[in-house]
Amino acid sequence: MIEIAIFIVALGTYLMRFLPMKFNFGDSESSKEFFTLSSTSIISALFVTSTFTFEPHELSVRLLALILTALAYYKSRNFGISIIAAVLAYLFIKEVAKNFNLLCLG
Amino acid sequence: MFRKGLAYSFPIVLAYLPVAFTFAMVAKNLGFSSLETLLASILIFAGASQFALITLSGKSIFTAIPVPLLLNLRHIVYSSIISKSYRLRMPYISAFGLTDEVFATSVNLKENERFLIGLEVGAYSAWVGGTAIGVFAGSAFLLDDRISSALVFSLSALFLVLLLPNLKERHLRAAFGGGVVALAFHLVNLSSLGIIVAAIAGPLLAGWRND
Repeated sequence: MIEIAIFIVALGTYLMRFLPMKFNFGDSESSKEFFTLSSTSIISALFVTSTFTFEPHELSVRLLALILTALAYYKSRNFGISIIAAVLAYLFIKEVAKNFNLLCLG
Repeated sequence: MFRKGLAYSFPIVLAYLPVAFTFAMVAKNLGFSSLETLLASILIFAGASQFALITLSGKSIFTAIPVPLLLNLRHIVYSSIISKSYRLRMPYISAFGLTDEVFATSVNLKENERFLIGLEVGAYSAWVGGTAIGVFAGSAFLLDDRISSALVFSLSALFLVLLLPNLKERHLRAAFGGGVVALAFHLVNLSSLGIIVAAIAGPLLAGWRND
């Protein structure tokens, strides 16, 4: 089933890239603006749903790591470096939080 | 010109390798096979929508297909702009590799189609290569729970990094509107539907009018 989804998304993505080159689609200013605003909304929606969790401890770790990710992005302006920084920041904060919890309980 | 395009793809290559590697590891962690993971990168070649596809396919296949496609609507705009900036003799080839970063680089430099294809070949090689490395060399990392949860978190980081450069003027309102709508749906366990509603509500909340 997933292979079918991959093929449909691949075909749809290719056609969205190819057809406007061939036939000048999405030419009106109004539709261009809708597509670009919609893309931003979707990315924001994906960001919110992938970040939010009902577990407060995990949510705190994620939010702290995201602040560091944003700082890494503004410092480097590099996609790859920011993602690596995000993963390292998350691991670091999670480890510190775990040790802090152990100290408090101990 | 092709070589020049290839050389200009270097910053994109640097950025794509770790992201593609992460994509492969997250996909494997979510239960995708090596073949499915590689197939997604080889055939789709669109980072954010690939992440959306693997994230949502666990919930429902019916939202896993439209959401990545909605996410790629911006490519219609990219292609329209490129078709006006470049004289394209082979649009069926040039179209395939038109990602956000390739578009941003090519639209600024305004070279010729060979340059564009060189840029795309560099970016595509890094994307597929990074995925292959993740698929074949990343399995050792997946045994560790901490690494697994960090890689799942990298999805949030990816979407944040994609979002940050767009947070200007009306896009800021679209992002805020889309985010609030998505969160509201997420809180009542309708996350996938929330993303589709956000795609339509975001532009309207940002003041878009069909003139």
